[in-house]
Formats: sequence, structure tokens, C-alpha cells
Amino acid sequence: MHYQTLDNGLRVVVIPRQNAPVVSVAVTYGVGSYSESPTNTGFAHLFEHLMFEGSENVAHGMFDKYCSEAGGDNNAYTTFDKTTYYMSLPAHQVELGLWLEADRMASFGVNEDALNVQKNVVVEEINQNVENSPYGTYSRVLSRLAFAPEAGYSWEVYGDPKHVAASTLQDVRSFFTNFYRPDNACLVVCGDVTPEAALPLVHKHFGIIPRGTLPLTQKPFHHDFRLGKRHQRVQDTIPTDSIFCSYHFDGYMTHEVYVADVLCSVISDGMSSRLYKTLAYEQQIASDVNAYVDDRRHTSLFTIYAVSNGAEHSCDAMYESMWQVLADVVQNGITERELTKAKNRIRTRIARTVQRASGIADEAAHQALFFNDPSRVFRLADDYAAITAEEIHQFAAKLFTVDNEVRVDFVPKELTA
Amino acid sequence: MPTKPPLIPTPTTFSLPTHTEITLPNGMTLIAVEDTSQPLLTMSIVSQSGAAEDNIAGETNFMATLMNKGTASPKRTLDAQALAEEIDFTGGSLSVSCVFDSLSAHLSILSDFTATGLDLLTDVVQHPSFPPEEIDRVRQQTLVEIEQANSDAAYLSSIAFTQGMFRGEKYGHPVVGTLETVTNFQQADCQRAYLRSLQPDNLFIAAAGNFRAHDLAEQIQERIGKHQSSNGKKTQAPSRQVDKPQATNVVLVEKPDAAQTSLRMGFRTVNRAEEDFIPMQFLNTIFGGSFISRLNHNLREEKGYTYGIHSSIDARKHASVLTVSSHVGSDVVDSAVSEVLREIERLRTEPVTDDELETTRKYMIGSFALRTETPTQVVSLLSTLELYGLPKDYHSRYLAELAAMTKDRLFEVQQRRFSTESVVIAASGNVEHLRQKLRNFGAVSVVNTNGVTV
Repeated sequence: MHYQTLDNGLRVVVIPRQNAPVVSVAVTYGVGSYSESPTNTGFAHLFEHLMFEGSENVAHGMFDKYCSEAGGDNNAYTTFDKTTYYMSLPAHQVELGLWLEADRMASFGVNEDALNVQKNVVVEEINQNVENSPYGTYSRVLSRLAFAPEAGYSWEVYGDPKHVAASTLQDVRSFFTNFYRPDNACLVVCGDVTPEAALPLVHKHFGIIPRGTLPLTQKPFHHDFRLGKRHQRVQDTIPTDSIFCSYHFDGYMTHEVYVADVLCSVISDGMSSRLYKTLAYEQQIASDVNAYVDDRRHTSLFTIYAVSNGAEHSCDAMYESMWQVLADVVQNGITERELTKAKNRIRTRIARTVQRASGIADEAAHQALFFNDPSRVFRLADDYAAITAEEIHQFAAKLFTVDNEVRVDFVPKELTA
Repeated sequence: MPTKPPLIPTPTTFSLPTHTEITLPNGMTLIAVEDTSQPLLTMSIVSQSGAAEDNIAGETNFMATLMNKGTASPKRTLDAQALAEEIDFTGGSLSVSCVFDSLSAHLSILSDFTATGLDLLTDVVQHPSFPPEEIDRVRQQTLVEIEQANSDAAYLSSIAFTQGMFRGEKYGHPVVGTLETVTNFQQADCQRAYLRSLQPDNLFIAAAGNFRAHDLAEQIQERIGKHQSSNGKKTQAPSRQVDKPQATNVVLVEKPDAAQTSLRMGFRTVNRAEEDFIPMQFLNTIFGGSFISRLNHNLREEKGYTYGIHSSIDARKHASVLTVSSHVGSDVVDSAVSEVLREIERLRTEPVTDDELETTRKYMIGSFALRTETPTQVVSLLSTLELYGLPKDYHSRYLAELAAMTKDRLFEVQQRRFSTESVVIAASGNVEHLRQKLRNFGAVSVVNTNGVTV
């Protein structure tokens, strides 16, 4: 692996890999919905759409055409804390990928028409995935419930469609100037290419882009922005009750995230996991139960959800059973066998991720941007291996408390006659 | 900075990564791709008899879900939790799923645990016990799953689409079944579906990962060698063409409180083995099969009607369908349907442009490398050949045919294969609103969530 920072502040990682004649080019910018103003939510995600709408040498509509002609695929995603653009190409087309990314980093530009079309597209995306989707509003409800209004996490990435529709070209220009700059980004090239071949191309295309001029600022996050002991009921067009319980813990800059991941695996991975065995298999009050780690830069959430196994099983009943499981972990910890099992599960996941150049590139960009150390990608398994059952026990005891809990019940909408 | 894209001409030939095909002594074929880069093994035992062969809607899927919920072999008996505990401990997964044309028992595991994984996979395939208490559990979970799916706009429009396209035919029921059929499944139904689907002649094995193919073949043979048909002859179900819809028609299904319309449109098209199949894939890429397709350009990038619109060819054994899917604003659903029909008509009447021909050729040839990046992807392409009885050199022929494609060849196919005369237009949303918006496109029928006309 080769890692360096260019004079303009752009972090560059090249990871050669000879498994297949493909290359992945990923650019991650250190900006997501967390950096938005509360009156212009959803903007980071709208901006992600606009990045495909044209730059100095790539006219409107040409970005995808050039990529397709090279046999490539590309897409992008926005989270609370970052926005990633990724492209997979046949290896001999690596320079095209670099040129496309560099051109929009250097000279992104969008006109009023393209902005208006993309505002419509994004509003329809929100309609599709939030308004018209079962449980689609969950993330919106959770954000409001779990964080104080001044926290950048108190709205979800999609944001408010009204804010999206009201965005202006001026908003676009200042967001670009503030955040889309080499000193707030990381470029990863991973695949069938050597650093000797890739680096001169990186310098040629990205080296001339000027560093940002304004200071890069991050909104502060305080622990008291995290709200607990919260509970809300939401009516939705769903057939049976479902419950979501989230618990606050530290952001992904800390070791806690790894511990949380192992705990999550112990209680929710597979049919033999504690939650599934109790709620779905033995008591049969849930048809499905699972947990996931929603890791973010400043603070994270550990979320458990369960779907009722029929109208007679309520959110309250599922909540009670869920807490039987959690209380046991809090009181007695986990077994060595459970720990080994969770570590095997995580080893499998890591091995699958690094099978693909795009999987490595995505993870390396994250590690370079937030930890200034992309080589952590290849050490992830070691970080997990060192975790002990006692650590998990202590973490669970701190995590699973009612004061730290945000509970959202989804119940079927009452029919109006 | 250079002002022109640094595009390198794309080579027109790629070869699939090396793979091995071995016939086991019991007659089953093993397709294997070796890869030592990661300590992983993925393996599927695939049956060529899926939900299309259901006697009762949903029986194959129901039986498949139960296959890993208890086994009884001459050597050992495992209940559902013991089975789950064993596979979960390795960090791997073992599941059985089914679609219309096939059923697949799939193992994914760290290669350190190959022996454990093979023991479990072969037990599940040869000796499922279908315990009555597990049948009741799975039944209840499946019923909830169906009810949940029925609140999903896209699932509902797919139900309506299926009815418009296949009413009363092999593919005319949901793979998962209906609330009624699932309520009544018993152990005998599972056993019958099992004997039909999992008979040895129907099976082949596909594996990718960290192994030596011949060693793996031996390990498999040790465990599944006795699973062998008595006469050693393959008894393929006869291929049967499924009738086409006679005219363009609209099928609607109610989705309460819909904020948007989920739209699905499509028409019958060529089967995989037919000569027009590759040209049709080429044309579909231009029509709606890629991000720069005509449909996405028109409805998303120009009109902003939708977050995205996409088309694909769903090529099954007995019938193929070209399907367009999207979610559009409810107020513009009629305009969206008009635009899709207009794009179909444009393909029927006008040759594609030189630029479209070249861009699509480069994309389809170039992206082949991306479709074969991992050993699992390669083995999945090879499985498709086996499943549909396609020749072994299919992919090199595919690439050669793309390289030689001409506008004349495409136009000849366009004129024969694109038509607005028997398009199924399906939508979920407020039925009364949709009926007003879509009544001019064809006869309107309304179905419920079971696909029954109301």
C-alpha cells in the first residue's frame, strides 16, 4: 500500500491487487448531513446528485457516458459524516476515472435547470424511500428523538423535502467552496495497478487543484446532545407492531465501536443468537429480530428491532422480552464460545469485504480520512481479535440502561371508517 | 488539466477466469473456481426445479425454508437450534432459497470450517426432517412476511404485474404463496415438494473459494455419493411456452396512503437460447438497462419524474419478460406511462444511433471484467449456463457477438421485438386516482394483494 498527502492536502492511497483486471477509484469527502444548517437539511445528499451534472470539461450528461464507454460503473452515497463517490473500471481505464474525479473536484459547476431537475429527482427519491416505504420514516423520527435540536444528527440524511426543494444555486456554490476541496478529501485507487503507474497520473490530474481557502470547521458535538429515556409511537401502513430500541455510545473514532460490533453479533447474528432464540424461536412473539451498529463520527447508536409475529403480540410484549435478554447480558456477560462465534462471524465479513477492490477502497478511504491511517483496513481483524468477554460485559452494562434508551414503536394505522 | 477524456480503446476479448468442471461418480456436475486469495468457501447445491413447478402456490418456497430447520441422517439427528448453533459458530451461513426456475441450498463459510460446512450442507439437502413444530413456526413467520410485503408499494405492483402477464399460468402465483395456501401446508406437502425438487437428477453443485477442485469433489462425493437416481437418466420437465397477454392492459392494486405510484410495465420477449437474445440484451441496455439509458435520461434527467427508472430482461425457462420498473409521482403517472410507450415505439420504428451502438458495445464488453471480479461471480455465471442448458462457450460467443453487432442487425430485431400492442401496465397506489389517469391506455382490471381480480 502506498499512502501520501499531496501539497494541496489531498490524501492519496494506492493499493495494488492482482486478483482481477479491474480497478476501483473512490473519493471520499469529509462532509455529510451533520454539516448542514438546520434550515437546509438534506442538502449534502442533494449536492451528491449535483456532482454528476457537469464540470468544466465534462458537460451535463457526459460523466456517466464516459464512464460507460470505459466499461465502468459508478455511484455515490451520503452519510451523516461523509460523502463517497466510487467507480469500478477495467484496470486499463484507471486514468479516465482519475480524470473524471479530478475534473469535478477542480471545476464543478451546475446550472439552474440541472439544479431544478435534481431537486425533483431527490424529492421523488425521498417519496420512494421515506414517505412511501413501510418504516421509511423511522430514521426521521429517531433523529428527532435521540438528539437535541442543535445537534447535527437531529435530522436524517435525506432531510426535509421542503428544504431540498428550496435550495438555491448560491447554497450550491458555498457548499462546494466550504467542503469540496482536496484538503477535505481522500482518493483511493485499488486494483490491478501499481503505485509507479498510478501516482504520476494522480499528480497530473489532482496536483493542480488548489487547497481550500476557508478554514475547515466541524460543528462541535457535546455528550449532552444525546437524549435518553425517550419513547414515541408512530402509526404507519403496516400490518403488525414493530419496535426499535436504540442506545447511545461513542463515535467511530474510538475502540468502543469494535466492542459494540462484537456485542451486536453475539446478541443478534444468526438463529442461535440470544435475541433470535428467545423472541423468535422460543417465545415466538417476533417473526424477525435483529440489531445493528449505526456508527457515526461523533456518537453512535446501537439499535435493536423486532417485528411482531402476529397482531396479538404488541410492542410492549416484545420490549419486555428484549429486556430479559439484555438484562441477562448486563448481569452475567457472555460466554467464551459466544465470543469466538462472534469473532468468526466478523472474520468472515472482513474476508468477504476485501474480496472486491471496491470494498477495500471504500474502507481505506474511511480509515485515511478519519484516522489518517488507511493500513488499518488490513489490521481490522487484529483489533477485533484482542477484544475480551469481560470488555463486552462492561460495555453492555454501560450501554443497556433505560436512561440511555430511545424507543420507537411502529403500530398499524387505525382505520377510519 | 487535460480537457478531453483519457479513454483507452477496450480490448474485445476477455476470458473467464479458469474453472474446473467435474462429474462426480453419482452423476452430479461440480463447477468449481479455485481462489486462494481469501480463506473463504461458497458453495451451492442447485435444483433445476423451483416454484414454477408448484402444485400448490408457495409449496417449494415453504419446503425450502424448512430444509435447514432439522435433519435426520443415518449418522446423526439435528434439530433446528442445533443446526443453527453449528453453522453460526463457524461464522458462516447456510440457507435454502427458491425462485421460479430453481432452488438453491447455499453455504458461505471460512475455509477453515470446510468439513463442518459440507456436513451440514449435504445433510440439509439429503435428510431434512420437516419437524411439525418447525412447520408451525415457519408458517407463522411466512404469514407475517406476506402481510409485511403486502404493505410494500413495489411488491404490490409486482403482484399486479404478474397477474397481467401470467394470470393462470406457471408463473402466475407469488413464489412465497398466499395467506390461504401457507395456512394449510403440512408435513406431507413438504415431503412431496422435496421429492419433486431435490431428486438427484435435478441437482448440480457450484463452488468457489479456497480449495483444490479435485479434493473438494472427493469430499462432496463422500457425503452425497449415495444421493443418486436409480436409472441414472436426467428427466427434464418438458419446456412449455406460456401464453402471452393478448392486448395492452392495465392492472391496479390498492396501496393505502400511497405518496407515490409504484409502476411496472413490460412485454414478452425472447428466451435465452434464441438467436435474438443477445441483440435484445443490447437493445435493453439502450432502452432502460443502464444509467445512461433512454428511459432514465428521459424520465429522470430531463423530466425529473422519478428517482430512477430501469428495465431488465427476466429470462425464465418457459417465458421471458422485459420489465420496466420505477416509482413516479402520482400526478405524473400518465405522462410517465406515455413516455415509456413512446420509447418502445421509437425503438420499433427508428434505428439506434451510431453513438448508442458504440457506447453500448464498449459498455457491455468493458463491464464484463467487473462482472467476473470475484470467484463467486464467476461461478454464478457458470451456474446460469448449467441451469438454462446453454453451451459452455456462451460467454466468448457473447463477447464476439457484441463486438460484431451492427445497426442493421439491431433494427431487424427492434421491428420484430418491440411493440406497444401487448404491454402490461401495472401500478400500486390509490386505485380510483390511477384508474382515471390510466384508463386510456387499455382495459383496466383491479386485483387484491393475493392477485385475485376484484
